[in-house]
Order: sequence, then C-alpha cells, then structure tokens
Amino acid sequence: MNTPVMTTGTDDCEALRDQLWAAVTDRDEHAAAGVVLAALDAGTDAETVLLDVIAPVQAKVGTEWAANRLTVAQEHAASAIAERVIAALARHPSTRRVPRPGRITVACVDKEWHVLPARLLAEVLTLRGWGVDFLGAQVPTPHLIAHLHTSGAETVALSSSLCTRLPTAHAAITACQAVGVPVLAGGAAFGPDGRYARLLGANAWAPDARTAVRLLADGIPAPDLAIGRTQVDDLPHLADQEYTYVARSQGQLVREVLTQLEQRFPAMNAYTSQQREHTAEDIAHIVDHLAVGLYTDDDDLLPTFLDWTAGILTARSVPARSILPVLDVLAAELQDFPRSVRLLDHARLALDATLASAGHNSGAPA
Amino acid sequence: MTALPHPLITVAVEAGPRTVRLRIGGDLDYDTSGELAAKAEACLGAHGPDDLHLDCADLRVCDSMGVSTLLLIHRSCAARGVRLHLDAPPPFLERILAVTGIRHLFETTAADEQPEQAHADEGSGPAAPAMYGLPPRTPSG
Amino acid sequence: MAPPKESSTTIIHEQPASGAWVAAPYPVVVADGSGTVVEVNAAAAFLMDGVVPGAGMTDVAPSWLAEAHADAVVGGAVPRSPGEAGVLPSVRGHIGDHSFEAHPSWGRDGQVVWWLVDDTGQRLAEAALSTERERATFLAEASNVLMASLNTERCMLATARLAARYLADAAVVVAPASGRTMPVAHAVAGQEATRALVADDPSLVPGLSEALQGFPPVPSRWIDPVTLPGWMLPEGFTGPIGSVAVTPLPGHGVPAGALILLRSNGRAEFSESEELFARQFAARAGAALSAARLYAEQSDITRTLMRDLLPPDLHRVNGVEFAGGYQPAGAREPVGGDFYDVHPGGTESEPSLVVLGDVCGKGLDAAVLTGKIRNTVQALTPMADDHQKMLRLLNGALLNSHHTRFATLVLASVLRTESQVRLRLTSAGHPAPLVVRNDGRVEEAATHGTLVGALPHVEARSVEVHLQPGETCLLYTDGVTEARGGPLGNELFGEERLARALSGCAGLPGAAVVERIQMLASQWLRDGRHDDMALVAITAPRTTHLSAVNGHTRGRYTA
Repeated sequence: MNTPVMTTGTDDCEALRDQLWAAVTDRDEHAAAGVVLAALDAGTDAETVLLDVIAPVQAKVGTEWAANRLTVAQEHAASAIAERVIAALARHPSTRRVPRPGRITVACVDKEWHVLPARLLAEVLTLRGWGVDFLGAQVPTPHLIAHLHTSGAETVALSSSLCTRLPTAHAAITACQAVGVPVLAGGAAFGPDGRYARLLGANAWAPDARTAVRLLADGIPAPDLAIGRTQVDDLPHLADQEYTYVARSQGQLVREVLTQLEQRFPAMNAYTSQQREHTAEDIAHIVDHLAVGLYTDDDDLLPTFLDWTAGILTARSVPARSILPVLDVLAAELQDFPRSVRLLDHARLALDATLASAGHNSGAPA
Repeated sequence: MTALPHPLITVAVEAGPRTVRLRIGGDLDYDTSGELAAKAEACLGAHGPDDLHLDCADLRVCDSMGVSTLLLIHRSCAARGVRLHLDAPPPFLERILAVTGIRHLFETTAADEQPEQAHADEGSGPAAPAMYGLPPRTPSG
Repeated sequence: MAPPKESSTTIIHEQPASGAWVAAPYPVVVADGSGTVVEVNAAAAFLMDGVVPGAGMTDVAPSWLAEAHADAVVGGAVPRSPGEAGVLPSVRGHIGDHSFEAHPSWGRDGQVVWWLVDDTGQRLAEAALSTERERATFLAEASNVLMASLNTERCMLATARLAARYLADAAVVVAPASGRTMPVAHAVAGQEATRALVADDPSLVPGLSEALQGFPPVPSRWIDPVTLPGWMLPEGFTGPIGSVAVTPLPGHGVPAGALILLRSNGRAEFSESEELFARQFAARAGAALSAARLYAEQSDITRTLMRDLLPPDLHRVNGVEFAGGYQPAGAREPVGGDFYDVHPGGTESEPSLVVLGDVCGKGLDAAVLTGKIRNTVQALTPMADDHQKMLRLLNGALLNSHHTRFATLVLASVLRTESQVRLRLTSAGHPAPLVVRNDGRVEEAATHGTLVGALPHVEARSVEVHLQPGETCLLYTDGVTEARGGPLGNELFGEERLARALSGCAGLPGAAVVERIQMLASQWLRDGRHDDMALVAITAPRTTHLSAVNGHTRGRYTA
C-alpha cells in the first residue's frame, strides 16, 4: 500500500467485518488471516482490529447460531479460526509495544469454555504493554489461586459467559480476594448491567474490553483482608438451602419431569433415545437456571433464559409453548420451597406474556 | 487402614482341595486393589492350589490399577504354575480385557456367554444424524 | 462567708460524723457556700499543701476541684434536711501524679463534703486493658492479612504496611539477601508500601545483620538514628528520625528477615512494652513470610519437574494439522497419567509420529511413568515406521519385576501425500482411534494390540487409513468415554455418544473438533469428578495452502 491509513473509520471497519465474516463462515482460516494482516499492513490499529472487527464478527456468530442460520459446526470452526487469526495478529510487527509496569491475570472460570472475550482482553492488555498471564478457558479455582501465589498479579480479570457458572465464579472471586487480589468481572454471565458482578462482590465490572482496560489502568483497590469475608456473607438467602437442594437433586428432578411429561404427552413415547436425551438436556438447562436464580435470588434470571430459549426453539420450528409444562411440573415438585415456587411463577407469567405477544402456537414438548 | 462402614471392596475366600476361589465384590480400583493383591498372594502361598478362580460376578468397577492387579496376580500364578480363571466377568470387564489385549491370559470357566460381544457393539457404520440439544449459554445482548 | 458562731454550733452538732471522716483513710475536704475550706482531715492535709480551714478553695485546691465546688454551691439543689441524698455529680482530676475521683455530698448549711478516692491504679489498668484490646484486635487483623497470601512480595509489603500503620511512623522489611541484593519493602503510615532491591552491606545498619541471622533484637536505645543508611528511609518520610527498633522476623527454623521500625523526632521512644509487642507482631509476620517462601521454593521445584511432563502445544507440521487437548483429573494436579506428543518427520516426505497414551495409576507415580514412556518413545523415533518393533522395545524398557504398572497407547505415523493424509495406526491395548469422514460417517480404526509394560510379549495389529481434505482422525483416552454425568446424573458418556458427537464435527478444523469434544464431555460431567482426558486430532487441511498462520511460526501469507 502506498498511502498508509492511519485511522480507520466506521465504514472501513464495516468493510473489514464483512470480509472477515465471509471468510469465517466459509471456514477459510487463510482468507480470514489475510483480511486481518492486510488491515494491519494498511495501518489499522491492532486494538481496533481486535475490538471493532474480530469481536463483533464473533458476536454475530452467536446471534446467527441462535437464529438457526449457522450450524454448531460452523460456530466451532469460527472460534477456531478467530483463535488462529488473533495469534497471527499478535505476531504482526506493528503490534510491538513498550512494556509498562503491572501484571494482570486473565482467566475464565472453571467449566467456562467461551474463551474469546477473555482472549481479546488479554491481547488488548498486551498491546497496551501490560504483563499478562492468560490462563485460558476452564481454569479450576485452585489453579487460579496457585497462579496468584506464584505470579503476584495485581488484579485478576475473570470472564464468564454462562450464567450457570455464577456460583463457580463466586467461589473464584472470593478465593482471589481471600489472597488479597482484587477481581474485575466481565462477560455476559454477569448480566448486561453487571448486577451479578456486584451481587457476588467483584471489585469491579466491565461491560466490554475497552472499559476493562480503562478500569485496570485507573487501578482497582485491593480487598480489605482484615475483615475475613466469606461467600455466604454476600448472599444471606442461601441459608434456606433451596439452592443446595435443587442443585444437588438436579438429575432426580430432570428424571421426574421427564416421566411426568411422558404421561401427559403420549407422543413422547415414540421419541428415540437421542430425542429423549435432548429433551432431558433441555430440562436440565431449565433446572440449572432455576438453581442459579435461587443462588442469586434474582427474579429475572430464569425468565431471561426462557425468553432466549423460546426464540431458539421458534427459529427451529419447535413450539415454544413446550416449555410451559416443564415449569408446571417443576413448580409441583418443588411446592415446599417458597423461593423456587416464586421464581417459577414469575418465569411462567413472563413466558405467557412473551408467547401471547408473539402469537406462538401451542404444541407438544420439544 | 481405617475400616469404612461400607467396604469399597469385599474379597471372600473359599479354599477347596487344589482350588481356591476369591469372590470379588464392589470396586477394584486405585484405593482397593492392594487388598485383592495381598489376599491372592496369601492364598497362593498358604494353599498351593492348582487353580485360582477370581469370581467377578459382583464386581462393579475396575480401573487401570485393577487391571494392573489382575496382571500382578497372573504373573504370580504363572510363576507357580497355577491356572488363573476369571469367572463370570461382567460385560464392562470383558470389554476392558478385550481393548487392552489381555483376554487370553485368563481362563474362563463359566458365565461367559458373549465373549466379544462388547467389541462388536461399537459400530463403525454411519452415525445417526445429529439432533440438536440446546447448548447451555447465556443470551447475548 | 458564714458567721463563725453558726459554724461553731454546727461543729458541735456534727461532732460524731466529723470524727468518722477525720479518721477515714480517704482525704476529705469540707467547704462552704462561699468557697472557704471549713474542715480537712489528715489524709487531705497530707495530700494537698495549704488546704487548711479558712483558706479559699480557689487558692489552695486543685483547679478542677475548686471549679467543681463552685458549680456545686451555685447550681446544686440544697437539700431541705441533712439526711436527704445529694444529687451532686462526681468529678475526676489529678493531684500530682495521682488521679482522683471526688465524690461530693451535702453537709450542713450548704456546705459540701468532698471525698477524694485515689483511682490511679484503676485508671492505669483501664488504659493497659484498652491498649491490650487494641493490640489483640490488631494482631487478629494482621494475621488475617498476613496468612492470606503465599506470595513473598505481597507478604513483605503487607508486613511493612501493617507495621507502619500501628507500630511506628514508618517501617522497613528486609528479607535475607538472595545473591547480592536484599529484597526490601518500605512503608510510611497511611501510604501504600513499595518494594525495592538493595545492594548494601546489612552490617552497616546496627542490629540488622544480627536480626537477619536470628540473634535476639538489639534494644532500640542502643541504635543511633544518624547511622542509618539512606536506602533505609522510605520515600515520603519527612523529618529526622527520633528512634529506631530492629526486630528479627523469625521463620521456620531460619530467619525470614528483619523488621525495622522508625519513629520521627517528636514522638516518644519505643517503650519496653512496645518492643515486646513488635516482637509478637514479628512472630506472625515471620511465620507468614517463611510459609510464603517455602511455597515459592516448592512450586519452583514442582514447576521445573512438571515442565517436561505437560502436554505440548500442537500445531501444523509438514502440511498436516495437529490439535491436542488435555484436562487432568485433579484440579490440584496439572499433570496426570494421560499424555500425547507429536514428533515431526525430519522432512515433508518423512512421516511424523504421534503418540497418545494413558498409564495406570494416578498422581506423581503415574506422572513419572508417563515421563519415562515419552522419553523412550522420543529415543525410538528413528524406527518410527515399524510400530511393532517400537512397541516391543518400549515394552522391554518398561518391564519391571516389582510391579505390573502398564500403559496403553496409540501410535500414528502421519504423512501428507498430495492433498490426502496417510495414517498408519497401531493400538497397544488402547481404545481405537475414530475417523470422521466429510459426510459425517464415523469409523473406528481396526487396530488392536496388547498393553505395554506388564507382559513379557506384546502383539499389535496396525491399520492404514487415508484422510481426505477436511477429515479428522481422533485419538482419545478413556477419560472421555468414562465421563459420568449427563442430564440424568449418572450415565457414562460412552463410545456411542462420542461417535455421535464426532459425526457433528465433520469438516471442522482439528482444533475445533478437540474443543467441541472437550466441551461436550465437560458439559456431560457437570460438576462431577473425572479421570484424565486427552485428545489429539489429526486433520487433513481443507485447503491446499500451506498455511503460515499456524500460531507457531511468525509468518506472512502472500496471496
């Protein structure tokens, strides 16, 4: 290129996003890397490429999957390609930066495999000159703590996308704080307004990588160790043991719901074992979200998940009404648990409203 | 070792003329395999049998240390000229023996109705078309 | 002043009572409404010079008592009869070095009788108790803070910060030298602690080298602040130093460092009790520091030992895509009994050798055996084309008369020919590799053989498999298929589910196949325990490009 472009406008980013999207959906890793490296050669800032090109394309992969316009396979291929592209970007000569003092540990909570948001933050911090220890996806809390003891990181940036991982995230947050290291929470699991980050006592929350970088640069104060806080101190409602019960008897609850659905809907008897298993998995997800609703004592968590699920089912021509009997059976099974009943009632009302407004048809369970 | 209220493994010894039978019940794994090895060794030393039968009808779990222990008992039997029998191996054990290629080391005398059955099961034909189950995620946006 | 006559009448009238307090062990002073001393007992006369009948309270009594008397006669309600209980407030004050409580009561004719009770001992005890309480609270807090971190730097900073806040105006923690430099943490009360490395002779600071060697502390009065070297003064500490205390930080058997407390000129020197308290704090800080140091040493050793045991990062080699994934069983153990390696062929026409396996047992024993197998296979790579021979030699190397610990493994020789990838696969007692075709069919490679390391003879049957572009061969350990969980809680993941999952991965890059299978197994497990899980995907690339974007070489793609 003869005239290096020093700044990249919105239009340029949009063009790059379209090119990258085409390469990613075509599963062409080579073309995808070409798009990114050419943009860097042309003078586009690496941080802009990461946050305004790669990140939105990955977000689009998720929404397109939800709308049934991408297969699971394409989705996995896209994230594998994104990984390679980011690795290529990090090695581009234009991304060398002057180191600054300060060390940050970036990790996903245990059983969290959505690694890309954390990876993007780690890359941006590296670009800004921070020392970054990127521990990757699915970091067991003991590994994270052992790492903090040896590395002496000043802050942990903890990522979680699945809200079913919130109890695990809570354990990780309190464990980091117990060794004197503050936690910046990020990722969809913590809610669009960061409410679950606050609830679980995170020292800071960022809705996106740019905010995270700014907060880290401002400095996040270390937790006060002298107090000796524990997990239950944040969530006194856990004392009623409802969360513990529902989480522990998850398999049993799923089996019970499945049995009762089969009695109500004879068509289910014709299900193949795989269809049965998928139905069981869908029920298990609802129970998981109920459990996390109990953990956070949040009325909106289960309805938000069901609303999203309804959209997924509708996109795949499965009637969303099939969720309703699951809620009914669960409410009957858990009738002795006041908070569970409250959350399920709330979820049912919300789902009824959604279905009424969308004019969904009634039908058999998925 | 501390006695547990419910033992993880039970090994009952029935010593007859020229034949010793060990009935194994429960889990043969990292934590318990030492117990079986010790009992088997003691029986071989004390009774000097021609045949050692390991009755596996009530065996529920066998991990790699369990397999290692079966091999150790086999080695000990071979050194003494004792025939080692595995009686009534459950299908999961049959499968482990088949995959690890050590099935031939053990004589089978009873309840061995479907020798290679487990192996035949793992079809390599076209897999059923993938259904979708909803992967758990958090709604984005 | 009251008329003397009336006064003398009173004295006669009150004689029995007066006699009682004349002999009382407590000092008693009686003064009238005009502030004139009327009577004094011997104890009071001994205590206060000049307090004699006829003298003015304001002239002879301590001011606090004189003021209290004036308040009493002006504001106090004079009782109608002598027996009525007074409602006058008690007051407190000092006479000389002693502290007194003065209890007033009404006498006759508006006179006030002051009983003085010496409470000096009680006051001192109260002050001591409150100091003790503060110290206990501080030590509890300090323990919370100090025991939280096993990071030595963090521990040193916390020690300096706590000491500066509570024990002195500024504090310095000096750790024993590593090499030529001593790690040092500085703190000024109310500010963040900072760290530094100092190359200086500790013996230049009086008491420091003794403290670093664990000798008893040098009393602070022996240390002249003028002799302190400049590095000792924290940044932000203004004004000359008045007093210095050097306390050793006792570790587990060896000194963990020294704590130096600094006070500015205006403040009192360290008292004996303060130095004793500093030692109590130092004992806790020293224990925390040496625990942190021990942990750091242990984890250094572990890291060194584990470095070679961790599975390698895989990437594209000679036109073939390799991807690996490993999840150890224990959350606390980074290594276990599963392993894999890719030994690249020397040239593009020589096959690369992949080995994936599982040794029996767990923990360090298994990790050590794993290391032995990986090293042996590495040494045997020159004969990589003859799997049977490799397995015989490996078996011989592992055989041991003491135990029957064994390994199961799969060998794969991988060669790119044109756009295809040719594989030779041999299982030694290991679950056979699976191949996913582009149309979603999943095939099990027809290879089987004997486990290695426990039997004198081993046999194995190899099989040749060809991959078209986009197809993948997956090597896995049984931790994947033995994963127990699922929506109903207690089912095995099993071969069938694995094959089905793999069928859904048709055409994916190898890394995505590994990620998807790991994700499904992890979802299946929920929060349950699992065995080690290892996966290697061998994939024929979909495009014919020899990609430079493999995350390993710093390459540029030219179109």
